[in-house]
Amino acid sequence: MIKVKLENRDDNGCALSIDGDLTIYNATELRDALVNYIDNYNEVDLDLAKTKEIDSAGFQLLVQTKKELEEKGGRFTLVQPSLVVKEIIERYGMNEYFV
Amino acid sequence: MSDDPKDMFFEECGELLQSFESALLALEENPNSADDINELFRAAHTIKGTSGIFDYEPIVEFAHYVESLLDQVRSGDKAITNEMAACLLQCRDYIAVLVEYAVKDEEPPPRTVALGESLVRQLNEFMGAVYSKISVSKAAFKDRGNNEVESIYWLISLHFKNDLFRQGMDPLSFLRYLPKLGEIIKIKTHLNRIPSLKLMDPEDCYVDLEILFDSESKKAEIEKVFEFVSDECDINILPPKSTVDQYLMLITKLGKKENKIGEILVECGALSQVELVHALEQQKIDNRKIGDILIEKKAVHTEVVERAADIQGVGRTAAQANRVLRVDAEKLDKLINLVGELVIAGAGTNLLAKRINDESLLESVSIMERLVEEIRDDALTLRMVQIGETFNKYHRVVRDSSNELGKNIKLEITGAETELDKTVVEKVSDPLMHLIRNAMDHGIESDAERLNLGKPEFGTIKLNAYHNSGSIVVEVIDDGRGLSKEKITEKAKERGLLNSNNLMNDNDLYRLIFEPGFSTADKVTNLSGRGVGMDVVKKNIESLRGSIDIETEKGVGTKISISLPLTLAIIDGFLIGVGDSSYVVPLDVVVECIEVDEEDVEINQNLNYINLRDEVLPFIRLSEMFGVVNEQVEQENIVVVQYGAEKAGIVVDELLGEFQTVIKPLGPYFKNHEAISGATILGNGDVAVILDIPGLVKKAAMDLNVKAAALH
Repeated sequence: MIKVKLENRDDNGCALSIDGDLTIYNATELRDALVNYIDNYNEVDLDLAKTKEIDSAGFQLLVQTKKELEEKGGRFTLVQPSLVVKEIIERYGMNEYFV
Repeated sequence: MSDDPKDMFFEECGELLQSFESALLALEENPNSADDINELFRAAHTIKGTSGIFDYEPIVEFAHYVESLLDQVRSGDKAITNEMAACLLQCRDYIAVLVEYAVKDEEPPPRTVALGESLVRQLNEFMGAVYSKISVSKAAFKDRGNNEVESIYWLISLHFKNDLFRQGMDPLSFLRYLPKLGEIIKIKTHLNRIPSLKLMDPEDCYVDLEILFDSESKKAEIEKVFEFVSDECDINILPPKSTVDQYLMLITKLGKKENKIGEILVECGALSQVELVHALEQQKIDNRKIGDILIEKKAVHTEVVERAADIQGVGRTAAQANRVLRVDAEKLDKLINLVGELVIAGAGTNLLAKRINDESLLESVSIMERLVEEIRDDALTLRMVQIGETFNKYHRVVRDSSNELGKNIKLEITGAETELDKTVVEKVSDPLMHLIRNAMDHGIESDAERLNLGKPEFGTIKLNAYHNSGSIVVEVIDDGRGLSKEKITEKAKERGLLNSNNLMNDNDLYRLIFEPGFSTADKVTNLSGRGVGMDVVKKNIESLRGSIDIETEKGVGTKISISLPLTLAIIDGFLIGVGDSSYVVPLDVVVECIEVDEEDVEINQNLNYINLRDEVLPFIRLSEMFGVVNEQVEQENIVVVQYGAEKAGIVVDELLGEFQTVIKPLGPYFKNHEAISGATILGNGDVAVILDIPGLVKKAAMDLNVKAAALH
């Protein structure tokens, strides 16, 4: 189970937090949630402070989300990524991408 | 069989350079001959390959330029011009020099390197390419350009299939594991395959990775990391450049293979079994060369594949050539010496058997003797080589010298397939060279002179070889001005070889040019004219038990014939006896044997000649010649021998019949004796002298002339 919580929002952007693992088991749910938000907002902050687990399935969703938001002139920021998130970004060599 | 790779390399390059040269010279005659162009290219290519195999990089580098130009020629982009041919000849010489340095394990001196650079510049000009400085030093080859990957690291490319996550696997685990084998220098993650968040299947894996990896591990070890994912992933592991060199070395060490390229690559570690299987599957689909597929997949570096292909090529040629064995000449000599001893020992056994007179023993000895004879003949043919190879060398000599002399001279070769003993071939090569140079320099007139005389503008030098009664005759024929009798006479008088009333016949007069320091040339050139050489030529030929003759006609040309024995080791001899001594005459010069019967044969005891079927046959008494004390025998015999056109008789006491003669050289003490050419050992251990027939025939004729002249 994964919960994507809308913490804050204005006309253009929103702040989300995630409770649960960003893994293949939740991938479809996560995707659906993200699709929903990027359809409605241009700027998305995603709080990953509490993320305890993330795998490549979760990771590729984050990458694609950022890509699609930026393609429409928006922005996608990871807020307070937890250690596991930092690790996967590091491992995939995408530090610069998520700065 | 020579096992030293250096010797092999040297020999192989020598042969290749020879065929390179021959093809090139043939092309000068006929610039469009596709066969010769292909031969030229093949030679250059193989020189490059062979040098690569033996790791002589400067040659590889240089040959590459030559090969590139020839490739353009072969594909018809460029035509061979005279300038190009001249340049290629220089390239050939330069490679020969490099080969020598390579074999000596020395770096070429700067002067040589500079020559190489200037040749490369010329080659590039022909190719229309930009001159790029090459260095001939070995170090320069290490960073030879390979455009695909300049990396000093491993390049691991991973293309994961969609189902990866569903199989419970994650690329992340590899990324976590890899650092145990080395250091990830750089990683590039591609997620381009995701269509869009909406359309993607979040459970599909869209990850592709490119990893630059620094590791001391072997390819197989790195591949093992991905082993259990291999079904769900295309893996390509391209080794760093440094290991490329290792692979090249390994391939070389593996040596000549008939294996498939894939197998060679797997064996040296450049390619893993898995990669090979994948590539082979690919090959089934598009039916391309396995090497091309592997290069395209970035599994193996181009040069590694090329090297493997070279090795494979060499292996294949070796397989084809394994019907021909290279044998160390020394081993052959040893064998022939042993056969010689066997022949002598056999003769001894034969003698004993005759003494014992046991029928079965005699029979078995005669069987053995026949076998020994066969072995002898076969052993001798092992050393026989065609003279053509030596002849072909002179194409170049004639070409270069005629340029130098500013004359148009062509060389015609006939009888190239004539075989003779390898030692003889080697020793006759320098004298021939000298004769050819002489003919070009002194024989052939200048172009203008020739035109004035109404001769064809092109001077011709003919080299001809043929077998003639047990010897081989090599002729050097030119269509030049011929020897000048007047000049020789004048010179001979000047040198005191001839006084004014002493008349020599023409033949002897011409032979004076073989006297040391005798030159009739008006001017001394680089090539000849110093009067040094013809005497050396004569000496060399005579040391081979050969002889040399001159025929010349003023204004028409000169023919110098060298006659050489086919072999220097064992001959069929004819054994004759005088008193207690035995002598051997080479069987092939014996024409007939006649019994001296004063009733039948008109014999002139004073002048030493007989009337043989209305022909004057001078003869020599061996007993007189060697001072042998012999009792008067009832029936003397005359052995009629022929040398060239002249015949002579040898008066002997006894005819002992055919004898296999192992020629043993005599010491320098006997060197100048005109009638002795060697010695042999008889079955009973006695020594028999081998008669020098050319010397004897000459002496017989001369004695007769002298005596006849004294009578008048």
